Amino acid sequence: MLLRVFAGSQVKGDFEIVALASGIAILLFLPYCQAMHAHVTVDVFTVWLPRTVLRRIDALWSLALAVAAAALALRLSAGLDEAWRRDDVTMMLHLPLSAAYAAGVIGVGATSLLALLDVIAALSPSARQGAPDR
Amino acid sequence: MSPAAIGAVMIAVLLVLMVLRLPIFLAMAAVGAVGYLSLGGAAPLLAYLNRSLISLFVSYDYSIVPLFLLMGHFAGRAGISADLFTAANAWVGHRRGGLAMSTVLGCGAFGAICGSSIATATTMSAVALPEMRKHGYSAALASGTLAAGGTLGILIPPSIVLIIYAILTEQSVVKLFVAAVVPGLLAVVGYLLAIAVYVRLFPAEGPTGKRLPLAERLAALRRVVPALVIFAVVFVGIYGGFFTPTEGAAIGAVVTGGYAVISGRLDFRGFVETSLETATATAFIFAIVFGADLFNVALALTRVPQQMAAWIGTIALAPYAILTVLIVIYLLLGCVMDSLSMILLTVPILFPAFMALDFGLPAEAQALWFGVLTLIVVEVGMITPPVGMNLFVISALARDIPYATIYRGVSPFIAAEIVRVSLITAFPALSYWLVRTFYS
Repeated sequence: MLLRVFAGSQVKGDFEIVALASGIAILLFLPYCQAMHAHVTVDVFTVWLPRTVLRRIDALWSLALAVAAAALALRLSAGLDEAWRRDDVTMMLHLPLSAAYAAGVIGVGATSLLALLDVIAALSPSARQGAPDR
Repeated sequence: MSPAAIGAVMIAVLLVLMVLRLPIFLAMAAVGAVGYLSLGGAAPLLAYLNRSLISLFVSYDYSIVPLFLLMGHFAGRAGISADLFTAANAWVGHRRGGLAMSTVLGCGAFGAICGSSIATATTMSAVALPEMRKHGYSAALASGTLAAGGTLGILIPPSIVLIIYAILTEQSVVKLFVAAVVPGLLAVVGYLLAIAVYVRLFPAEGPTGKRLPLAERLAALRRVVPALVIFAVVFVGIYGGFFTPTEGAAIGAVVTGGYAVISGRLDFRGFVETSLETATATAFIFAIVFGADLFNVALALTRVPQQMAAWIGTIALAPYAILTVLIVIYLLLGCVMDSLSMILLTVPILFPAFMALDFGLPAEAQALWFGVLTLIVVEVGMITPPVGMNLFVISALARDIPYATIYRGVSPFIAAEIVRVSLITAFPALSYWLVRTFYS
């Protein structure tokens, strides 16, 4: 892009590199966000509930998230298969889109596993006795 | 069940699940998937799920979001917020409520290089909250100012919310940024007036500070130079058309990060932490983008959005009356929803309906005007109880201040915002005038 400003020439396919690279990065950020428990949640309406009840609700939702993410990861692997067979590539540089699908399978799959770990942690004996979990 | 009834059930279930602590993105995605399944069948849903995530995230338009987030986080690390606050305080600190006014001015200036309201509220709180408490400001005024000041992060361009609006409505990001400048400055003025009135009514809550000699004031002013340079490089470049907004955001992130390293405030550990903060924020934003997309695709199958647009078109009311109703709906929704989900869920429904109304404006001006209005009303949602992201941020940072106190503290600012929404509704030119001056 600086080249374009200063030399008046275009870097071929720069938009595609940025789009693909940022897409892959975002997909790989997903498990980290899950590990940090950073997903936006509305909690003001439930703050009055006892901690044990809240922990059970959160465990249930973690399980839901694990199942949903696992299903999505499976669909993405089907998408990866399609992209690979059809040889889907970007327009200018012929970058393989299957790279993004692979990142999606890894990112969403890891998110599912991390959510499952949360469920297990919530059901473990130490958590049941009311030990602080976070 | 008729498709319209399914649509209504979807919206109701979504709200219930959100209230029950299901992460918002998952609530939207799950309800969307079930709705899609019952309307379109399994095969199209599976085909959608195969590709949607990739086609949404691998996008040049959206790549600007993580870059502006990174730039904002670097700016917080570089101590730019502290410098802006100190400089503002040197000039207005001696007035009654001066520290609160400095906070607003600091947030406004910081908002010009940061596109996120939460980042602005967080970084400014770290600097301004201890100062205000130390100088005897009431908890209500201090926390209210910070919660409201944080909204300047998105009200003053760059703004993540405007970027999303631009993508959804296929408008120019650059023109939307320009359109938001005058309304953004009005927000700063409105907040300053709100503080001035508040401390006149309750003088004990915002004491005066020391008046500094001119030499010290000028010395403090020098500290804003880095922020000014970053702003100039990025926005002269973007507004002047030298580079695209995404390129501008990338350059901004590099320049801001470089400044943070040179000023000695960003070491390797800080760099890693900043990157991880950016990764987290990016991930939860895009998770919401995905959830909202699935929900919207399913809702489109119910034809509720089209029926709603058609219905609004048949109402025998003046366009301004309908606009007022839309704004009230947004303000009410803002009480229970976060800004990003609100934009993503409502704009696809309400934008076509709004564009069908005749205000005697060219289409582009009308789209810019609606963008700015939407921006303001969802941002007011960030400070209206009970669900306001900024209120949560402040409450998480200052655990000793009860919710009720923060609610009381933001009320004057909400009043100021309602005045501003009315002004911009009545005078659309406040938004598109600068765009017209720039680009014609």
